Amino acid sequence: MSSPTASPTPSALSLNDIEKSFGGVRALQGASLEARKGEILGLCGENGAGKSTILKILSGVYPRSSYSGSVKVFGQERAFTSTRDAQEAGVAIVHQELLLVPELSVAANLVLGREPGRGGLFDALDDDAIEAYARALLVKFGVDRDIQAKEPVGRLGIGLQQVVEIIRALAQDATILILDEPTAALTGKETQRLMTWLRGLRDCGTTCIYVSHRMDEIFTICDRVTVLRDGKTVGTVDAKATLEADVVSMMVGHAVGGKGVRATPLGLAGAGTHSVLRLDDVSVRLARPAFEGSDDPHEQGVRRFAATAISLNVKPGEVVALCGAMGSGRTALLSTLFGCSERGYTGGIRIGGREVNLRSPREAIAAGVALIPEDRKGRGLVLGMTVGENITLPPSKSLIARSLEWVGLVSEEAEELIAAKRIRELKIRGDARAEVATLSGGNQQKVVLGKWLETPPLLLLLDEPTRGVDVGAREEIYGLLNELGKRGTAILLASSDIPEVLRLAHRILILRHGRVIEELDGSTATEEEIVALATGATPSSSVVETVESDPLVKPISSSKRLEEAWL
Amino acid sequence: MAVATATSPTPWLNVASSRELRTVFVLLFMWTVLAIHPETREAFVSSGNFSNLTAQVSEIVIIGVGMTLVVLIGGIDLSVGAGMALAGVVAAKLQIDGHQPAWVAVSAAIAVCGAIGAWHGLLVTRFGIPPFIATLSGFLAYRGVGLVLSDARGLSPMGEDFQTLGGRLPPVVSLALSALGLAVGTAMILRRVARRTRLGLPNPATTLTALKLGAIVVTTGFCALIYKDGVPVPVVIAAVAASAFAFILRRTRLGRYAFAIGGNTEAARLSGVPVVKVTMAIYIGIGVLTALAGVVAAARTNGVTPGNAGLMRELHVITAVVIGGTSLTGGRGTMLGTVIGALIFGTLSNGMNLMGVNSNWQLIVTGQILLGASMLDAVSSRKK
Repeated sequence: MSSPTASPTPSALSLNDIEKSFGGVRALQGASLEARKGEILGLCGENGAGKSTILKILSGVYPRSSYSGSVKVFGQERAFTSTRDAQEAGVAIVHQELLLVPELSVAANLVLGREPGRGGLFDALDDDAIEAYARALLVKFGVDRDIQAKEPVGRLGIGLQQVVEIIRALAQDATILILDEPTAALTGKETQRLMTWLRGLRDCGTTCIYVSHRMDEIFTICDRVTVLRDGKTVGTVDAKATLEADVVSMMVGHAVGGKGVRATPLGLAGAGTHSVLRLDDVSVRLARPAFEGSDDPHEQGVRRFAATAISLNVKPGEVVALCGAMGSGRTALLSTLFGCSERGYTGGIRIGGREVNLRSPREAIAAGVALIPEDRKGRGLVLGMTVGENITLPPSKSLIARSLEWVGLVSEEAEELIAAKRIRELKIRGDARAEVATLSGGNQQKVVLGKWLETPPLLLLLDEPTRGVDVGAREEIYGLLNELGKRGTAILLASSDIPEVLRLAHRILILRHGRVIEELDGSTATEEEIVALATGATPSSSVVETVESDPLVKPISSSKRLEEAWL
Repeated sequence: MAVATATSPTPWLNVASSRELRTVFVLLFMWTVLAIHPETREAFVSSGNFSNLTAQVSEIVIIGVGMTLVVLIGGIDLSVGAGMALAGVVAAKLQIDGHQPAWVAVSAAIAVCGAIGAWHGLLVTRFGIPPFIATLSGFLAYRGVGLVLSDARGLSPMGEDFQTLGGRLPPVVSLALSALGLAVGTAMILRRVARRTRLGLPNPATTLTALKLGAIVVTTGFCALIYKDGVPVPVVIAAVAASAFAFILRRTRLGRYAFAIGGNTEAARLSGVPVVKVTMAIYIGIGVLTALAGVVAAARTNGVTPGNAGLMRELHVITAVVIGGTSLTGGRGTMLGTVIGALIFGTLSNGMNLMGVNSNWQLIVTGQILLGASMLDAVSSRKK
């Protein structure tokens, strides 16, 4: 359903009917998009809609033989085998993660991989010529006063590093620029400048594909928007003639019937009972301020907090969900509650009625907190160890086991007994002595949960608890959470899976830029409402007010000089 | 943009905080102490002692500049000591049993160790074996091969042509080399300034340039002085290796890519850096240098005892590299740092020998120095 107006502008990049599967999972099933010359095309969709698969096809991560359909650049069919290939065809991709080498200078980074010369490894490099070239580029893009060509890239703030990254992509005569969540790490002002700058590029004829799940940005900058859902292109709409809400409902696609199936309320959200978790004005410092690296006093008002002034209560058996886009502060908040904040926090945290100071995971565990981390394989499990060893890894509560631990011993028999019990309870399909790496995703996640069940934790922190978990195991995990809730465990859930949030949560807090901007009732909230609030679309005027009066949005400013240069 | 003044308002501070310079200060401090201390004064300042010290250090420098590249890309090579022994045995067998001229013996040693380097590169890049393990196996195996080849017996003496590799050049030649170093160094600095001006790039402050020129004059003058009886050939080989590798590191694609791989492998790969090729080249490079060091050691001692040659050398080399400020996690390092690190290492044992510190205590002190250097590194990188 492309726009009816026949466009005279030729198509710069077009994907037709791309299909791509991983094992049995179909990541793309008929995805198409067309970017015209000199336009900014937004590409949006929920997590798992297929955005990143498309990007990987364009950067040649997946070979031509692994997908069907066609990729055409200016009408010519192409198959990329590497980023370099794409670049030679004039398609530059700026990834979400910065791909710069921090110890090398800006100049060296700008030419990395394409230094002048014949290409031999022992070619002498003319550093001065490279520096002169880099300076010319920086002047051309108007940032020569903010970025010194000789400076190591690692000393620049993230915003300027992003600029270097984009200039590097554009320096290679790219006419098609693909930006993947380019503002994920940027502050508000930096984002605005990027927008202005991108419009300038478009007016000079560059085609830009802007991948983002931030609705406000998409609508600020894009001419047209293509929406993906479940690996299919749902449609392409004209940004000016469409409401954000329409795009949101295209993204969500209403097969889910509003609410999903809601389980019986978990436990009691009983009135009168004390809070298990109580946060008073908790702020979490960012590991590094969002705009750092300059000693310039004008760069005050940088975003220094991952989460700012969060106050909340969670009662026994209650499930509170935190929703927000990447960088909204939900993971930072969970890490802090598990004693992992890199730079510490301010404000008061009470768990089970006691004031606690969480400086390490051990302290958090002792206070009765358990965490199911987002990265199951990286942080949740020791993959080379057995199921039993993983389950009994956390400090044990039983007296005998503890005294054994104290002298540095582990009792294999006790371990096996506990593991066997847990395996029964959790219906884990795997032996206690099997390596945990051999289990399926769902069963692995149950092992992660099992680690914390010896005595139910007071507070359970869940970060994307069912990512990559199949439907059956997901139901079982929901059942377990329900069970825990009944026994009085309070649950704080961070998830970008909205149906899951709606299904589990009694209350939903929407986070943006590290602040709670809205609290919704889990039984009345709708998927559109959450997506709109979290992405910054504007469904209701009251929210706009909240956001604009949010003191944090304004102070996010940085180098005035950069702004002038860009405007 | 027109008048971009010096990038920082306090260039002096920048210079003083550069870690290369810090190690230079440490070295000069040690030398000063040894030159003043009554117990060591006379012995230390004699030109013979300095000449000896640098000759002893040259093996470490020769391998160290290669190790710097290896460590820079996040690797390690534990096999260099054993490699030296093997190179010595190969050369000695050819000289003594095969009656081959020195150049054949040296070429053969280089070929063998170059192949070993290529093998390590292959293990690391193609088979995904961690460098520590790949080269640890060599650490055990190559000395074994050397022992088998030599029937576990010492081989000596080497031919006369071979012995010159461990000898001295005539005083005239060493004076000429010092002068050449002075001329080339000065020309490079001045040419750079001229080029940068032509390209419209900001030049470092004139005082800094003057300081650099001064440093070159002092260094070459010092060399002319301590080598007035002739410069040891190992020192010349080490100087050439260090210069060549400094050039490779700072001024060639290979060096640039080494920084990139060590700093952010993924970024390097996605930028089109040929990671496999660079890694292979670097491991072959350290192989060749190992052979050179092995040959030099054999020439200096006029023979090889395969059980002892190059024993613990890998650890000495890594110590020098670390003292020189190269990060063992990759991505940061300099050749000058490694050379200074090797000199510090050599000065330590030289100084302690002169003071009559027994060798057991020398081990303890050296260990602490290494630890101190790493701690300094950890503290300063945390501040950043």
